Amino acid sequence: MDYPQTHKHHYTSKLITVLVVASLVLGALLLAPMDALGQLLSSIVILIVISLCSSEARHTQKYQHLFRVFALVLGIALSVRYLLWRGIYTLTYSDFLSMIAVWLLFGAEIYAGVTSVLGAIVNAFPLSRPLLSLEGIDKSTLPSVDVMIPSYNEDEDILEVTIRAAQMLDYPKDKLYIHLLDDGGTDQKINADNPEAAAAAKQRRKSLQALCERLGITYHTRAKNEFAKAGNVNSAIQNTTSDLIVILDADHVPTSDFLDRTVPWMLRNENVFLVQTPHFMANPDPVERNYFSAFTRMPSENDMFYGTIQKGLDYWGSSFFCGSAALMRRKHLDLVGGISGESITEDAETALDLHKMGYESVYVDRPMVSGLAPETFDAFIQQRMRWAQGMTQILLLKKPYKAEGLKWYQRVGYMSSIMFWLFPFARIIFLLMPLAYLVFGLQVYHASILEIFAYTLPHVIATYMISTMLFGRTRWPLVSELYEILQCAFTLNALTKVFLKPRAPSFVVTPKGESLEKTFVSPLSSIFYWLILVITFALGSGIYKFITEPLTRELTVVVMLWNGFNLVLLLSVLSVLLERKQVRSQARLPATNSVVIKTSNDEAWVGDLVDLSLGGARLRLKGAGALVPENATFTSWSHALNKNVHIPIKVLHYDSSSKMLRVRFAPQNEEQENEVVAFSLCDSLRWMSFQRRRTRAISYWFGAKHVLKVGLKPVFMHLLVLMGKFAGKLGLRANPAKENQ
Amino acid sequence: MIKKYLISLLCLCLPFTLVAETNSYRLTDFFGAGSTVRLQGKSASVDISIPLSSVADVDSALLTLEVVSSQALIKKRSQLYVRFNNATIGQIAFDPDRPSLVSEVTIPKSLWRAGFNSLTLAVSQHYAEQCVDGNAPELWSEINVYNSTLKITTSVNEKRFTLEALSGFFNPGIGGQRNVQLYTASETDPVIKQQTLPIVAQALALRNQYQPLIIQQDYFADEYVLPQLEQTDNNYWDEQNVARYERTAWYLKAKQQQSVHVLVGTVDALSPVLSDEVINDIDGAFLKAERTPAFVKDSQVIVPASYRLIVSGTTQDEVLAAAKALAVMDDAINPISQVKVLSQSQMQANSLQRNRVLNPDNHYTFEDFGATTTQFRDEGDFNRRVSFRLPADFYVPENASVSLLLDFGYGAGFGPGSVMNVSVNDELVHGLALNNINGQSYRDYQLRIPARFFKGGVNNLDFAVTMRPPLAGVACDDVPGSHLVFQLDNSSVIELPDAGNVAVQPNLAMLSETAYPFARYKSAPASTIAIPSDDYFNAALTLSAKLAQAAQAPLLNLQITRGSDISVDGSVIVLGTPDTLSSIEQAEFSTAIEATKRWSYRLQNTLHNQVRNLTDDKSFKEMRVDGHTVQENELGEQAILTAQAHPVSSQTDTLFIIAAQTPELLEARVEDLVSLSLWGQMAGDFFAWKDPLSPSLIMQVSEKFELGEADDSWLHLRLWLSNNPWYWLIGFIVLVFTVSMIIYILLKRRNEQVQDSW
Repeated sequence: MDYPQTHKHHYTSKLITVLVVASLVLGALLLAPMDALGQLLSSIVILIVISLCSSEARHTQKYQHLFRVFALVLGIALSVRYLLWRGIYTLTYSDFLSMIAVWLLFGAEIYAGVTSVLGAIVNAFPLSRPLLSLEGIDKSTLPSVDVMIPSYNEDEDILEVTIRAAQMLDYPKDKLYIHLLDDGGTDQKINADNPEAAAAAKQRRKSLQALCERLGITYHTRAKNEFAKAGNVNSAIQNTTSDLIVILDADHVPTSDFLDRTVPWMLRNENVFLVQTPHFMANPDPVERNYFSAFTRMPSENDMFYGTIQKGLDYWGSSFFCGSAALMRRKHLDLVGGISGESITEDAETALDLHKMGYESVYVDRPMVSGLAPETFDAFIQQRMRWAQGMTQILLLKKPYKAEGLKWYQRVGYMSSIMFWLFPFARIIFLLMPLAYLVFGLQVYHASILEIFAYTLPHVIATYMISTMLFGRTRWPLVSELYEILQCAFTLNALTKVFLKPRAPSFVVTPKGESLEKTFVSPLSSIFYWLILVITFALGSGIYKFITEPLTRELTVVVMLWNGFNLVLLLSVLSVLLERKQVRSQARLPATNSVVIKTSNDEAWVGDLVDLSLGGARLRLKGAGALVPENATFTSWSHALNKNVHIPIKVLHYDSSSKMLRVRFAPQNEEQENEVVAFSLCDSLRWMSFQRRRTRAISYWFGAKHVLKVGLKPVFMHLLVLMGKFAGKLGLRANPAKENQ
Repeated sequence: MIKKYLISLLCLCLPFTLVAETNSYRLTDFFGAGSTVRLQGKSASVDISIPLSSVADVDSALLTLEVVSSQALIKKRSQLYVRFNNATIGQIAFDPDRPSLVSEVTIPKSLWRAGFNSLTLAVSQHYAEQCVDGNAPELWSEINVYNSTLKITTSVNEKRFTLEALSGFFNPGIGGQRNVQLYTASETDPVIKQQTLPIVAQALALRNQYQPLIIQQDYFADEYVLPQLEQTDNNYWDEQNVARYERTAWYLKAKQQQSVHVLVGTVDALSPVLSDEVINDIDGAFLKAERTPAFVKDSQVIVPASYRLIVSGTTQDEVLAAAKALAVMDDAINPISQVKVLSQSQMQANSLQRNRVLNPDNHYTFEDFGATTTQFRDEGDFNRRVSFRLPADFYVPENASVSLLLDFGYGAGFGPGSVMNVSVNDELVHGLALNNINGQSYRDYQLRIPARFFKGGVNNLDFAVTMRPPLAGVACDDVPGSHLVFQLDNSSVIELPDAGNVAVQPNLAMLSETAYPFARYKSAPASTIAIPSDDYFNAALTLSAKLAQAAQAPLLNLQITRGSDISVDGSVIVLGTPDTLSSIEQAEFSTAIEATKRWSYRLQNTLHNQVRNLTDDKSFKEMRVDGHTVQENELGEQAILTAQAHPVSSQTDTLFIIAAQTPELLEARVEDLVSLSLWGQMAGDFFAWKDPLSPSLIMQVSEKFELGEADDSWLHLRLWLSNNPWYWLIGFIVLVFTVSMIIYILLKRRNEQVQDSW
């Protein structure tokens, strides 16, 4: 008998008993009634303690995690106290309409409370895994790998880059098999009723087959487009045999060390069915591009999910498959019949099915796949609607909260991920509820100003503090609100459909690589114009109410502040809806390599890269570069290939004052094509340094100031664009409004 | 023989010839506003209600008015009209050359009526013959209501004294009695003195409503001693004259006329002063209103006639029952002279106190608490005050609200500037422009008012309505406002939220307004006025009477005990001198009144010994007074009233101490204290005074505490935590830390397990 183990287990049981008892006593304490001023004093002290603890938790030190947990529990307790107070004392109403409004608002608050509690549990202790490598492992013992690149309608150029990068994966070539899974050239498509579509599908199959042949990989297609991406992958799985399967979206370019960093986790634990890595987006999504041009300065939405939440989920053994950039074990996939296809988020569903069977997942926090984010707001919304619908389908069809085989913490993990996507219900209520009071005079929040200061504000502040502590580096304050507001109107509709018919939604491929040749107002803007109009009207009603109803002035001021906050957020959203012209086809990302520009005459210029894309680069020369000829060779060290690359370039522009040289890559042969891909897209170190550069914590006030600052500017820009449009229609003005602000 | 009868008849009648009494009142005695009333505009008026007792006949009344008018007013067209019960009794012309005037107006006695009489002072003011702007600032006049007086001579008109007349004798109006003597036998049972006399005192004071009633207790001798009469032969005290003498109120110490005195005691105890007929009538709890004849010899009144009220029974309990019946009796339905009380129900102290207040978690129409439908007519500013009482310990959560569902309407033809403003306890809560030219009627017009606008005790809802006619649109032409009408119906409803019964103590302001903690809402724990000796008994009775007036209900739970023992539970008022108070351990009190005095002078302490409204005070500052001066001195002419937590009571209670240098001074000061002017000024927990006009000093020196229902532990917890948030906070932090620590250990352990699996 292993005495220490038994002793430890006994000790744990005791601890859990104490925890339950202490939690119950704490719960009773949270129920204790107190007048507002006493509560205000207590809340202020608690907020100060949360602030100090979260500050300590952000510094690396021995008790970092203790401070983190303490701050989390304090924050949760304060929120629970707030919700209890709301539920016990403030849900009074005088008529049926008020009752509906009161309960809707309370329901939204409970939802927000539950999601933040689930989020706090998930992110309490993010797991940091060591970086493993295949170095030192006998290559002959390595498992074989099928790299599958499902495609539906993506351009050949995009696919070629992904395939070339896959071919350069640092893995024994005899164990690496690359497959292009073409769903755009299926028999069903080729024989479509529409002759033009059929011809296009036929042409697509032919050209992709040629591409595969040229690059030496396997082309797959199938008879029917059943079960969308999941069906496509499952069809290929049946025709392949390797031990491990890598799934890469068509635009997801892997770095050369992808397998080197992921396969070891499969070797260490036979029970692991999934090694997921982050999706690194090489271009800004519409929010990042349009909002403050913040792509290189502000952490992206992905950074929050992959930089924090997946690590938290990994700690609880519930990190899930994200559709791409993942390594999976065929043996386990076979147990569940391949990729699941009941929902339109087949990835999370597959992970759920395998977690239920007791298999494990691993998350490696190193960006090793760069992909493309949707360029337009339209495409962005389409993608988010699919995710929201898919996750809701999982909730309704798979019921992870009571799924057998899942541990309690895995249920919490899945519910946290799923519940998040129900935000449109709450967000719409938070946006519109001030109207119920300011315009319709419904008593939606029955509290005095002192109580709002004592209970409501501390709860809101604590929530933001906790959010900043958990996601401070990967999510700036108020940006989540912006993302939510942008999506809520559209996803609300989509979610309602799912609730009515859980099996109805079908998979829609997110359009990527769309061009933005000119600045324009997103066609989806009208709903936001209406919202702004309605909320501005509510503000006006509030001012009228303030003047005419002296009795309720305190509450009116509070609701007007709330309404004003919503208005500022909506105005900020306008910034995102102004789709800005994208000058380059590929987004340039910062780079720091040393480079040498050489001419055929052996003249050379030394410089440092400033930024880089698949098409070209910008560099700062160390000497004067006025004499650099138009054609030259670009030489630099490629970490991916572990050698110097020599790429022919064309000089586009030289700025003598800043010594900046802009060049375009002009590869002449297959090897140079590969070198360009390897140099620009296959270096995970570069992605990491880029991520580190933009994932920085800022103060809450800076974030709020930032939102306020950019909030008003786009209003004028929208007006200019719309006026330009109007003038254009009238034939008064030919040029569109101011572009590329 | 005929002569004899004639003499006897004359003797009987003589004492009842009307004895007139003349008093002079300031108009401020009848008028709650300041000392000066300013009347502005073209026409304005002020109404002053003058109450008159139903037993008083007015023989003459002279009104003296001190008026100052604007020099801009023109003669002839600018006048002050004096109306009494709507009859014009005087017209005083304003003269710009004589802006200050004193005028006397006689009020015809035929215009007086029992109850409230309305004195209207109305002005008509013009600065030009034509085109007078009604809002011109120079249109004003002032009446100094403090210096203006009403000199009135009254006499008692009661020929036959019945119980019905009690409300006339004990009446807040002119002619009402302001002091009363309670007579008992010298060997009185303690129960009578402890319980019955306070209830009798309260019963009479309640009839006086707000006017103070000074109570004096006295003893009658066990048997009479025939008076020595001058120039009387020895045969004068024959059987007939002795019998005549026996029937008089020979025991009266003061030769007061026209007033009622009270005999209290068992039939046995009262037998020396009662006639055999009355004694025979007493076979249970007994009340009798009786007129005693005078004893007159040769036109000399030896014993005056008197009105006496007999509160008696065969046992002490029956006497007590009779006193209780007197306390709750509606006199108007007892036009008889004697009552035998057989039984009573719902006579618990708490239920009596509860009947005078609106109960939380209920709704009431205005009619329920006696408000009538009000109609305003014509142009002008009108105000309707609706008053009601809430439990003194009315305690509601912050977000509770009171709903008013108002039924009101206004007629057609209202002009610009017509508004209705609603105030609660002088805080404006709602305004409504009366701007529908066709008029409008509202039913259940809902106002939700935060309950914190209401307080324990008397609450006032004011409906201030300004009615203006429409504009004529032509210069110098006004539309008369005679068509304007506004009506507030008494079907309007007030909905009260559920409330707890907790009050913050000590609070002398609350004591003066509601008699809390002696009168409570849910319970009526026994309370005491402790006196060291009989010398203080009058003061104790006067005080108990005043407390009943404040509570507007008899305090059956209040008794008067001898001795300065405060070991009994319940709230206590201790009366005493520094010497007698030395028996109380005062070391823990913020102030001490003993042979040596410990005063917390304000300059020795921070600002927190200034008076604050404790009910609203949520600063949670520690109410600890650190600085003291211990000195040896006498109290002089002044008296001190202090309040603090009861030091030895097993329940939370309040201890009041009233001290003066001697018992006589104490009695005089208590009489000052219960006066209309001083009682309303009580505040804080340290109150010193030496006249009935204003206090010498008011301070806040004791730590505050809550007093409330012990059975509602949730409410107690709320109060306790509200006052001691640090305890909650410390418990919260400790528990959160414990939970966090365990979670941290468990998380760390899991992390180790995960890492071990690598």
